[in-house]
Amino acid sequence: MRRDGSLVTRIGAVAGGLTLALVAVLGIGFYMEQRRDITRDLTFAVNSDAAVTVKETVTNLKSLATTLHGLASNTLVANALADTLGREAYLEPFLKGFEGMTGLTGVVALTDFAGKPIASSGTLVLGEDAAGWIRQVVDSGEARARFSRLNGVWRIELADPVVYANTGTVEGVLLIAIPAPEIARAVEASRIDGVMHGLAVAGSEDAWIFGSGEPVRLTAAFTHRAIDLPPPLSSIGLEVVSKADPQLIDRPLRELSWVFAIAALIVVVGVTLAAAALSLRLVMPLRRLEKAASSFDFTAPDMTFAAAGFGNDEIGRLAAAFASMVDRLSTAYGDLAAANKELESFSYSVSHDLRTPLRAIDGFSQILIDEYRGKLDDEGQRLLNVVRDNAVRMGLLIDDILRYSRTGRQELQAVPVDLGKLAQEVFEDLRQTAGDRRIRLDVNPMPPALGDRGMLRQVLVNLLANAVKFTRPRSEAVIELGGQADADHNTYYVRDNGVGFDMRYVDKIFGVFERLHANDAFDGTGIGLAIVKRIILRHGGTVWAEGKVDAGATIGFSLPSGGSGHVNQ
Amino acid sequence: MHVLATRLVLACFIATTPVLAVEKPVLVGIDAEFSLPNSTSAQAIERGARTAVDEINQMGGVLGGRPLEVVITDNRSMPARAEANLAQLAERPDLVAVLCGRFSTAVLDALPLIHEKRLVFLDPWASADGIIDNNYQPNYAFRLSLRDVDAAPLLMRRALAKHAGKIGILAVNNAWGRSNVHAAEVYAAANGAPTIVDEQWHNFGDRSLIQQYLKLRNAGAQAVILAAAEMEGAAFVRELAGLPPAMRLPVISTWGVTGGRFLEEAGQGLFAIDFSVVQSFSFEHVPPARLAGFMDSYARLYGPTEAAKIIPATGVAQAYDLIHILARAIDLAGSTDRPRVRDALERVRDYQGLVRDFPEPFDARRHEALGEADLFIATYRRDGSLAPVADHGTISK
Repeated sequence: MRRDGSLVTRIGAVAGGLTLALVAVLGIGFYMEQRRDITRDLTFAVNSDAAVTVKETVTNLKSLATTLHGLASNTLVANALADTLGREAYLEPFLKGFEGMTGLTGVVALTDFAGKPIASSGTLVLGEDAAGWIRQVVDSGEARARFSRLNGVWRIELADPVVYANTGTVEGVLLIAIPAPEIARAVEASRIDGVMHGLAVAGSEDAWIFGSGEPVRLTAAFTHRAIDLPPPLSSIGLEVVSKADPQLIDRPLRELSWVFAIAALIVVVGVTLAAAALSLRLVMPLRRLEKAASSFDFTAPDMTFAAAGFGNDEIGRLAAAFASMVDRLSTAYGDLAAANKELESFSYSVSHDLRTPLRAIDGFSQILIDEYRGKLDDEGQRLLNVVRDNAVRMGLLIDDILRYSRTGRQELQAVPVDLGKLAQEVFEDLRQTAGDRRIRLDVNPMPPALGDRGMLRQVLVNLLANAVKFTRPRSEAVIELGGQADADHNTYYVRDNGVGFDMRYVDKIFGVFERLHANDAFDGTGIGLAIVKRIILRHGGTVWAEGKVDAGATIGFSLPSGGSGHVNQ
Repeated sequence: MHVLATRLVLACFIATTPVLAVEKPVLVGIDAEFSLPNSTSAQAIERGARTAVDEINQMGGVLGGRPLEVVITDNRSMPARAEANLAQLAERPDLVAVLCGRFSTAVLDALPLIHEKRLVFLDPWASADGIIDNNYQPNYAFRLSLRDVDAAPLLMRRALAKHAGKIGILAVNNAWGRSNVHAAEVYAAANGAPTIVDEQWHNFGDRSLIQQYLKLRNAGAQAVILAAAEMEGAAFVRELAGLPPAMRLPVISTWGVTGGRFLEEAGQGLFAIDFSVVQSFSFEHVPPARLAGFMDSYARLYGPTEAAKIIPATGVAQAYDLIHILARAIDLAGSTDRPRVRDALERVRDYQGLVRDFPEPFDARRHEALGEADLFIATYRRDGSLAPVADHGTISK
């Protein structure tokens, strides 16, 4: 398939395409590497940040346990166990002061040995299992911690045994119940924008964001880190969960991608333009050669091509070779033109000169028929008629040769021609000779042509006459004309529904005196389409034919559109 | 000798009261601070109660032959344990009454339960006013002991006798301590002297009270009224004795220190300071014949001894008298039905006890068997016994 377009465009496109492909490969590699690096850096940062959060959580909880133990060891608390009516007056403020010590909002309560609350810093609601759990603390004499869920609220409960100094026995429990969100709230939120750390209950889907205490439902997107706590806190089962906003990876990647894409675009455009400029520099001499080649008038005398200015490289040598070729072509064209002119003069002379003896043959044959009819038998008369018919036909052939010859020598006067209107005129003339045949001419829109009006009329006469002739067997002949404008040529066609032709012989259809049908079927000498071809070629156009036996024929031709074509003289 | 006497008594007891062996016993509970280290109050109450029970059973028991039987529970002086113990005791059939221990705090929280269970509650020691003044009707609590509001005048007058017009109060931070402070404040407000310059508090388990003492002294106190248990009181005495003599103020104590090994813990420093304590009983006030009978009964169970060595005498005597009054009430009631026994306690008359004679120990409006007139000031002897001081509100018997 032939590829159109300029070499500069193609070189630029190829260079740009190759650069783009290279940039794309590099970009994918760059993207993957950046993604890996950013993910690694983010993971490290999140882990470091989570470690700080874990440490702070551990510190807070240990501080809580230590503070609680300190309170449990205070004689005021043990004293309250041995006290009764009125102890609320000092015990409750004391317990409420616990909040100020820890910075956490929770409920601190003192229970007796059976788990019955004696006093609390706020409203304390204990689960049904609390009494049994507290009894375990009393019986074991060891502090305990647990997660409990009451009315849908998770909370951490720490219980420290209160030893009554005078008996040395555990007589109560100091209990603190802090909602899990409160533990989370007291720990500083993530120091990385877009990263969230939360406190979670191991094995559950509940978590609370550090810094705010807001609840969050755990998903697979969270990473889990168990919090290692010393007894009794170790029994709680706490985790720090973390989640990073995907944008933390995607956003810098996107920004880098944009930077890379812009840089890549600049590179691709730059390479393309550079390649185009370089190729243009290379192609410019070629274009000069092309321009010179296309504008050469071989009819002009002393046609030459100056090879100077093309340098000494391959193009310079090409230009020199081209100049040499021009010289030789100019010489050959001059010789050929002279030969053609001589040949046409010769053929014209021959044809013209043949007319005199032909007229003599025709005249004397007519005299024989007119004056010696009685002396000749029938066979003699028939033979004389044959002689005379052939003389007439030879005359026609000579006329055709002369017309064909004139077509080649006639000077063109290019003017705009409305082929549709011209075709109507020609068709009207032809219809006069067609008797009562039903012939319909459909003229479709077609672009105006630029050419010699007389010659183009001759083209239409020949084509429409052929159409009328070859549709004779049809009860209704339909002839259709049309055309369209292309980039630099206009194309036209004449289509009929006549007898058509066999496409195997299409190469002969525009030959001189070539006929695809028997002489007795359709009259004519076979010069019409040859004249058409010669006229169209002289206008710088082309001709073609399509047909099918008994299915009509289409003869098409093209003409250069206005201004862009040239006329062959 | 001691063992032989005990065996003889026991054999006599078995031989003379065969019917008691088959009758269903009537139970009397004692819920007190038995396992509180250094405390002897619960044990004293138990000894007094068992001595009385033994005497009663020797006499044929109650209700025409049913023996009394003592049931012990230990509350370690903890209100919560006391309440739990009382709840269990209340469920026992044939338990007719319960004696408490020394600690008022172990009683006050249980008052609702006591009245809900209609548990006849006998107080041989705990002195908080609210134990009896509890607003329950009918009131199931009865006391044969000192009460704080009655002790306060004695303490205040003792201070005045010590030429202390300004006093400071050093009290334990509990309901009993507050009860004492309140009683002193009421007295000071009513009488104008002595004036209370400061009140300082300490907790059970505190092992130093010197800072509170110094604050009282700095506030101008010329004597200190102490409301403390034996361990905290002993710590205070040790610290006070360690101060230069000029800095030692007279200490007038409520009787909380006398319920345990106060002297052993305080050491000889006790005799280096001016320390006196309010009391409601002394064997020295018991008529000889009555004392001899008691000592015989006591010896049957615990071996021969001297009255001065029965320490603390208060718990023994007051529990002893309460059991005897209770036995009479049971017989009056003719039943172990606790409401009926409660009612009968208000109808017991003319009981001659160790503490004193009780023409009418209780009546419908008065569940306090003792009053201010029964109280006196005492000081410690080196053998641990208490010597009544014959002045300043004491009653010589």
